Amino acid sequence: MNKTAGCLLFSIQIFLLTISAKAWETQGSDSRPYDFAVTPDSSLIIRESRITAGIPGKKLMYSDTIPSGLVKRLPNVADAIRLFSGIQLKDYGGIGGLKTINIRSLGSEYADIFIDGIPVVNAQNMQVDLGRFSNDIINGIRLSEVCNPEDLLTAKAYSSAASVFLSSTKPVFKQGRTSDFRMKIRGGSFDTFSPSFTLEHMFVKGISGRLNAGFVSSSGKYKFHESKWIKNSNGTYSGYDTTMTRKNGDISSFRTEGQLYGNTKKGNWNTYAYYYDSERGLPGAVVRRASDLPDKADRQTDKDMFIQGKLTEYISNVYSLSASFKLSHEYLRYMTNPESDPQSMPADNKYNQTGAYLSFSNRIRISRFWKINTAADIQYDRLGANLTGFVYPRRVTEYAAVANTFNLKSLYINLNCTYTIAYDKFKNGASSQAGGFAKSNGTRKAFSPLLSFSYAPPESECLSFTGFVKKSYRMPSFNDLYYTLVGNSNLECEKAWQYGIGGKYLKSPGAKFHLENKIEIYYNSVKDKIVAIPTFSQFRWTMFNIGKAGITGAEINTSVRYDGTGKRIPAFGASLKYTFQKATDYSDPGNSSYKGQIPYIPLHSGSLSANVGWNGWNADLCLFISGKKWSSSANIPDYEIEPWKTGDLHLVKEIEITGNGKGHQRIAIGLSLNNLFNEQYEIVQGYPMPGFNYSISLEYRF
Amino acid sequence: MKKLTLLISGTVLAILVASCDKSQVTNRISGITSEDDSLAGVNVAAGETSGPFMKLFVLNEGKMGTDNASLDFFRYSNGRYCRNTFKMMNPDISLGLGDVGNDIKVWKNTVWMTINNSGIVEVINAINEKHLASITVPSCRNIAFYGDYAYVTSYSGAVYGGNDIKGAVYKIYIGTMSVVDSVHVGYQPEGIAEYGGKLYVANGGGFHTGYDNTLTILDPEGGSETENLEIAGNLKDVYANENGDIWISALGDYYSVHSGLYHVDGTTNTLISRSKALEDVRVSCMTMNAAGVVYVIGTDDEWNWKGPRKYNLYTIQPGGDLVKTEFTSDMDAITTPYSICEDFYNGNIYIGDAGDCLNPGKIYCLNRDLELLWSTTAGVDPGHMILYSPYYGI
Repeated sequence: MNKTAGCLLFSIQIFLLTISAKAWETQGSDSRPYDFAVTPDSSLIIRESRITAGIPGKKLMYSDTIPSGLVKRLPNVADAIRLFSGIQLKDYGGIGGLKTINIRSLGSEYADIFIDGIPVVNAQNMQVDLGRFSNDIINGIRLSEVCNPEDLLTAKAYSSAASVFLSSTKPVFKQGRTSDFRMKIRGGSFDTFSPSFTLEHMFVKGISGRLNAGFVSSSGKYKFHESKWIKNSNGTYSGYDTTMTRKNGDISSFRTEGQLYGNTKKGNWNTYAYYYDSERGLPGAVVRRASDLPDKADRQTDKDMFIQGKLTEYISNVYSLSASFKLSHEYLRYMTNPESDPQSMPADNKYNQTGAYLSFSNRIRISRFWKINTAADIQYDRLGANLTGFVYPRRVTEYAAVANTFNLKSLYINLNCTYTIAYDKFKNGASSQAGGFAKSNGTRKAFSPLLSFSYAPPESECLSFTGFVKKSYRMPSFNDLYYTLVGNSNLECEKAWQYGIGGKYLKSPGAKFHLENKIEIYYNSVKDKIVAIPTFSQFRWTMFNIGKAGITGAEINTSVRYDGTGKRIPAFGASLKYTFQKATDYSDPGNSSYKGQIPYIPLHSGSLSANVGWNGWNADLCLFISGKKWSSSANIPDYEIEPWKTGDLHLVKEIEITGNGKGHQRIAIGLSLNNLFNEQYEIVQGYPMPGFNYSISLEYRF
Repeated sequence: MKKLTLLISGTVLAILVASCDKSQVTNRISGITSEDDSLAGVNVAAGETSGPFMKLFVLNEGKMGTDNASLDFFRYSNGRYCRNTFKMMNPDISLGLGDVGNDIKVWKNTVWMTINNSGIVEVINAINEKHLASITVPSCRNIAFYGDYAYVTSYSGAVYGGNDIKGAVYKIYIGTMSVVDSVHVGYQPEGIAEYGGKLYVANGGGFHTGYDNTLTILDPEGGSETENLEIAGNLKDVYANENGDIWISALGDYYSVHSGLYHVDGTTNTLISRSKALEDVRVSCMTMNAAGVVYVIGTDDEWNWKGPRKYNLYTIQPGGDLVKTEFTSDMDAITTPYSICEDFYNGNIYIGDAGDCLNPGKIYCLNRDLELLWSTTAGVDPGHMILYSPYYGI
C-alpha cells in the first residue's frame, strides 16, 4: 500500500515535470502582462507583495502580515502574532509559559507554522510553542487564514487550513561592508536577563550568512490577585481578595541559530540550522493548596534542533522549481520531584521525536492567464518515550498538491487540491494497548480541495472582493492515537469545511497616506472532532471522533499609514482589528454543553496598534481586548474566564554613534512597558498572566 | 455513613432506631436551626422529615485544575437541594473548597473531606458548613475514623525507590486536628476501613509499578503494617461491616481484566473464594449502608467504549446473598454512575451521575423499587455522598 502510493506520487511528479517541460518549450517566449514574480528572492514577504502586484494596489488573496520593523521592536515573536485578527494566542503566562495559536477557532492543531516555508511539525501533540523563536532572526510574520497565494510552496502549505509563516531575512549590508555585528541585552521584570549576539557576514558576493545566539534566564516570579465575591442575602458582599506569587515558573534557555543564503545563476538557496535548549519549571494551574506544602517542583527540559534548506531555481519564465528538506529532533523531559513536592507523583518521562522532510515544488506558467504549481512532500515522524506500554509510533505522510491560478485581469481564481496519505506503524507488544482496542496499523487519507477567487472591479481603483471554499483536515496526533490507555488508534482525520467572503477597500488619498479597510466573514464547520471523553469509568478516558463545531466569524480591520520620512516628518500608522467568533459546539444534542461556546474563544475580541516614528524615536502602542470566554464548552460559571484588556507600550531610540549618517555604529535603546493597566487576567484557566511588567533593552551594532 | 457502622454496633443502632419515636426525632431535627437555612436551594422533593437524617451531603469532585470541588446538600426538613454550600457559607476562604474532592466522611457533628489536588483535609461543622480546620495531607485520598484519630490514605509517602513511591496512611489526632504520625503502605492507597481494631487499606498502584494488588492490614495502635493480602490489581474501595465482612472493589486494568468485587473475612484476614455470581459483579461505584448491606453499580459492557452501556445494581446482604437488578427505565437517564448512597431508614437510593464529567452532574433519588422520586443538578462530578444526622454522632 505504502509502496503503491509512493509510486503513484512519484509518477504524478514525473508526469507534472513532463508537462512542465513541454509547457516551457512551447511557451518559453510568452510575454507577460501579469507578472508572476520570477525574480529570485528568499523573502516570503517580498515575494508575496510581488505576487499581489497582479492588480496594482489591491491584494489578491487576503492574508495578513505584521511589518518586520514592528516584529523587531516587540519583545518577542508571540507578542507580534497577538496582533492578528481572527486568532487566539493561548498563553500560559510568563516567560516560560507555552504559547500556541488557534486560528479562526479551528483548534491549534490546525494551525501550521512554517519557517522560511518549511513546516515545523510536532507529531506528538500538533502544537508548536511560539515562545521558542526569536525576533533576532524571525522578522517576517504572515498569517494565512485559508489559502496561500504564493508560488513554489510545499504541498503541506497548500493543504494547510490556516498557517503562520515565519521568515528570516537575508542579511543586507551597507555599501562596502561585509560584516555586521549586533549585541543585544534585555532585562527587566521577573528577573529576566537575556543577552544575544548576531553576526552577519558576506563570504563572497552572493553568499552571506548569519550566526545568532541568545540566552534567556528568568525567575518567572510575579504577583497576581485572586478574588471572588458573593452577594449576601442582606445585600452586602463577602469574599476574598488575595495576592499570591507565581512560583516555579523559572526558565533558562539557550538558543543558537545559523543561516546561509546564496544565489545561483537563476535562483537562490538558503539553509537554516537551529538549536534550542531549555530547562524550566512548570508552575501548574493555580488551585487551592495547603499553605504549608512546599512549592511545586515539576520541571521540563527541551532540546530542539533542526536543519533545513531550500533551493529555488527560476529556470525560465515558464518553469521554476524548488526543493527543500528538513531534519529535526526534539527531546522533551518532564519530571516531577516528589521529594521536594510531596503533592506530586514520581514521573520522569522522556520523549524523543525525530522528523525528516523532503519537498519538491514546480511552477509552470501555462499561459499568460494560467499557472500551475505542483508540489509533493514526504514527511517522516517517529516518537519514542520511556513510558510503560509505549508503542513507538512511526508515521510516513505523503502530500501531493496541484494549485492552479487563473489570472483573468480583474478576476483571480485559485483552484487547488491536495491529497494526503499517512501510514502509521507502531509496535504491538504484549503491553501495547494503544486505545485498548485496535491493533491494526493505520492508513489515513485526506483530500483537501480549495476554490477561491478575488475580484477587483475594473471600474474601481480601491475595491476588491474575495471568497473561498475549502476542505481541510487534521491528522490525529500521536498522543490522540497512542497515548497509553487514553489514545484510540481507530481515530480518523478531523475534517473542516471553510467558507468565507471578504471585501477590501484600499485608498491612498495622498502619495504618502494610505487607508485600508477589510472585512471578512466566514463559516467553519468542523466534523469528527477528536475529543477525550470518559468511558464506563471516570478513570478511563478515551479519544473519539465525536465532536462537531460550527464557527461563524467576522473580522474587520482598519488601518491607516502615513509614510513620513521619519526624520523631520514623523511616520505613523495605526491598525484597528475586531474579531467576532460564534464558535458553537454541536457535538451531542443530549448534552448540556450542546450549542455552548467552544473553549477559549471569546465572542468579541480586538486589538489596536499604533506606531509613531520620528527622528530615531519609535513608539508602538498595542492594546488588546478580549470578551468573556470559557475553558470548556460547558458554559458554566466554574469555567468562565473574565473579559480582559491589556496594553503594551514599546519605545525605541536609535542613536548613530559615528555621524553623518554613514556610520555603522548604532545604539538602540528600548523600553517595553507591558500590561500598562496592571490588569489581572487569565488567558488559560488557572494560569494567571503577569500584571504590569517592563523590560529594557540595549543593542549595539557595528 | 460507613463511619457510623464502624462506630456503632448494629445492636446499638437497632435499639436507637427502634426506641426513637419517629415524631420525636422529626421534631428534634426540624427544631435545629442553622446559618445555612438562608440557603434556599431548589425544591426537589416534599420534605422527608420522618427520617433521622438532617442532610445528605454530596461532594462534587470538580474538574482537575479548575478549583471547582464543591459541597452540596439535600436538606430533609424542607426537601431542598442546596449547591455550592461550602463557598456560600465560607466566602472568605481563598480559592474555595479546592481542587478535586476525593472523599467525604462524618465524624460526630463534623464533616471531613479530602481535597486531593489541594493536599488538604477540610473539616467543617456539619450543622452549618462553617470551616473548622484545614489539615495538610499531601495527595490525600480517603478517610476512616478509629478511636480519637482520623486515618487518611495518601499517595504521598516518604519511601522512594527509583521512580516508585509508596503511599502512606496519615494519622490525625481529632482533638487538635493535626497530623501525628504516618506509616507507609502499598502503592497509591485508596480506600480505607476499620474492623476489629485493624485498618484495611486498598492499594491501587498505577504509577510506574503497574497496579498494586494488595490489601494492607494495619495495626493503628502499633502504627505498623501487620499483613499484606493479595486481592486483585488496581484496588479502589474498602468497606467493612460489624460481622467482619470486608468488601473490596478492584477497577481492573480497563482492557484485559474486568473490575470486580472481592470479599475478605476480617476475623481471619483471608480472601473468601467468590461464587460465580460474585465473580460477575462489575464495579463502577459502591457503598455500604449502616446495616452492612453493600450496594454496587456496574456494567457488563465495560469495554464497550462508545456505549450505550446497561448498568446493574447489585445488593449484597451481610450474609452474602447477592441480588442483581438491571437499571429500571426510570434510571435510563443515568449515563455515568459515579456514586451511590442508601438511606437505610426508608430504603431510598441516591445515585450521583457524572454525565460527561465536565458539566454539572445529577443526583437521582429512587425508592427501594428503583422508581424515581426526584432528580436534580449537582456540581461537576458528584462522586461522594454521605448522610448526616445530628443524633447519630457519638
